[in-house]
Amino acid sequence: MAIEIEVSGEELDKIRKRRREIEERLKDVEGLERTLKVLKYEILLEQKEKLSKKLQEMEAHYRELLEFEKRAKRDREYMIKLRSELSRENEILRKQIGGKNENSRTWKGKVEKSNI
Amino acid sequence: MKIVVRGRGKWRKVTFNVPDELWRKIEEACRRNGFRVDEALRIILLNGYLDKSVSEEEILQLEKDIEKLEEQLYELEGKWSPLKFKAYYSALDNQNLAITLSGLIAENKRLRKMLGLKERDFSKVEELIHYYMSYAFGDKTKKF
Repeated sequence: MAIEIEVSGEELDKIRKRRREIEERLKDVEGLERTLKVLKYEILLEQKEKLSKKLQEMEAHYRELLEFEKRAKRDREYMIKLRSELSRENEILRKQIGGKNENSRTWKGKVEKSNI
Repeated sequence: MKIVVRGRGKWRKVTFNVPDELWRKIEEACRRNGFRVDEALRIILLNGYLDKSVSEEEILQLEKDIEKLEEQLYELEGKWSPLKFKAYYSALDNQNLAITLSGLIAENKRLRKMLGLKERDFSKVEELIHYYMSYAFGDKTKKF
């Protein structure tokens, strides 16, 4: 049985030069286990950091959305109130311009006093 | 087991013979730590071993932390998606209101001018209209 590994020409030269060192390393299974454990730890640590960052970003965005929802609700109520107020006022003003309303002066007085 | 190392695009090769028992131990070490054999061989051939060491407990703790973070993310995603949907429709509703109000304000200004009345202060609502309309027409600098 054989397993084939492909490396670059430069890497192959290094392997040739360090043949004895590599043969010793192959026998050192404990060293391999220790190295793989460290690498596994580093991979997991990186994964944890990525997840923490993602969670922080999502929490921030979630808070923003909550805040926006509150604001949108507040604004909607205000805009609905103002819409009906302006509709009424514009209707009165139109009547005043048309000169059809005999009480136009009274209306004018009322409109002038109104505030948003 | 024979390990044949070939240079990319070259005929040259280096061969290592590994006794079966030793090979089995290498395979087991890879499996225990979640690495492929070829990855471990590259470490052996090219990088060498690390001097540091970590305990099994440290790895287990990290795995637990990751699992907890994944659970938190999953839970937050469950709440976040419907809220995003709701916020989108709230923005749409307010945009429609803003359009209607723009028209009413313009009319009010015109009528008051015609009647010689003082103009009302619409600064607050104009700010709101701008806020919701800029979102509608793609000014993504206004985030929500």
